[in-house]
Amino acid sequence: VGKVERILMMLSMVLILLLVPSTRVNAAPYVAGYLRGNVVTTTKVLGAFSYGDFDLGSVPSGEFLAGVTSVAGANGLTPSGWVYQNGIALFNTGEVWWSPQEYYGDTPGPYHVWPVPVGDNTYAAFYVRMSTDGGTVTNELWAYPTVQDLLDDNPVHYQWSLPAHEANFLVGRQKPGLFAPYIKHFQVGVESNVAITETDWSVDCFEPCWYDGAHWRYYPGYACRGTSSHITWIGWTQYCVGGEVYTGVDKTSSDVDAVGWEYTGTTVGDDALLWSESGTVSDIVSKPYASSSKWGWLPVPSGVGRQ
Amino acid sequence: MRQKFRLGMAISVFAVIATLACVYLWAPQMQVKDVPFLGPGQICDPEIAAQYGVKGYVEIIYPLVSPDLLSVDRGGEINIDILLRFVSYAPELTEARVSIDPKSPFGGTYGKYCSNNGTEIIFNDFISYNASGSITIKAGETMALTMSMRIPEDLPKCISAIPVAAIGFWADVPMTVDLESACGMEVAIRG
Repeated sequence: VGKVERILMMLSMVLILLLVPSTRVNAAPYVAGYLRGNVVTTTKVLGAFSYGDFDLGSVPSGEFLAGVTSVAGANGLTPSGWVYQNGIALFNTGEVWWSPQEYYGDTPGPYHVWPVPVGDNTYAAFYVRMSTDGGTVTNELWAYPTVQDLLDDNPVHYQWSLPAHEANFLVGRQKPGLFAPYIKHFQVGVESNVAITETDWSVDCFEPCWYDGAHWRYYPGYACRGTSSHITWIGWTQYCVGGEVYTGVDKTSSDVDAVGWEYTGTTVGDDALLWSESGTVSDIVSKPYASSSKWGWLPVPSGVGRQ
Repeated sequence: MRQKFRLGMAISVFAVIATLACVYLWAPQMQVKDVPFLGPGQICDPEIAAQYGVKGYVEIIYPLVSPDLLSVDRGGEINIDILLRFVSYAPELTEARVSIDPKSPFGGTYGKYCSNNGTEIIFNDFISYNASGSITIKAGETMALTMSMRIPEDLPKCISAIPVAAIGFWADVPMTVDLESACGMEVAIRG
């Protein structure tokens, strides 16, 4: 009997080890807001960011603080496994760089780029929009240097196109299976390559919304952390933006369709309410919300999208 | 009797753990992976890049340019040297194909509005390179290019500077920019 018990104990230990989640290799600290509502399809999503006044010199060289907008690609309501991201990364030089990226699961597409400086930490606002026509994902950024530029709607405009791999984007959340967590298909948040803890930095994220064919809409906003930021799935594998909780980051302000994130030492609760309202967006600027891009839709040239 | 009870308990515990393990292993949440936001520091680190299947990259470098020297008159032209360096992490990846077309949105576009109702001034229209189309760079090699920025005489006064951006490139591997050499670069417009 004792021998059978020992064998059972050993088998139990092996099974318990299988139950322990594997350690992530290169996860990045991340916190975000997501729009909680029934999953819907869309062809355009938008988010905006601004950086607060903090001691940039305390941020170690090479580390960045990025406002990141992420959306899952899909055919109808079925995710394709592709994730489209736009990062607006602030470095300790004060420069802000924009990088539209695409990933199949966790593998970057060939057009992962880090192309252009788009301003600095003093800019009044950066608006990011991702649009798809099924053949091309058009990433656009409108940078407003000053509040006056916001009032006058005079931005510097950047556009970078990438090949699309599916018909549409998804917004809202859904569960792919009984035991699966909710997948939050559209997120707007803050991510670093390593946690920046040397200064009480702050980033405002505002107006995450999607286009329903007539209006830019938002759902109630809730917080997700880097380990609950599931955005899409491929088979039985789910993918989290970031992958690590941004410990010490909390919401310090929130309003309808807006939230301020700050490194305070307190970590925001998972699924904390950010705002409870849903509705349509109104803004003091109009260009990011225009129904069509100035550059229009162009065919994907040969060579683009080659793996 | 006591031994039978202990055996029964052990079997029960095992059965519970085995059931949990089966549910966990067969349930969809079994695997969770991360979607990173990769910067140059990660792409250029072979170990990190390998974790995400990045087999190489093309880096855009601005050599020996002092930001103070970048200014040009309206109607004038300025040339800026650019290096494209291909780094391969995989022996089978021996070359990268880079496309050059500053007029294609797949290489990025940028411009500025001068008033709410005004048209957008597209900076790509001012940019050309001394090469176009598709070029091939061998692993470990660096290719020198010259970017020319021709400023129109009638450029609106509201534009006093144009950021220098690695516009007009796309490749079959990830592309990145050497941030140190590109830091703060813009062309001041005189006059």
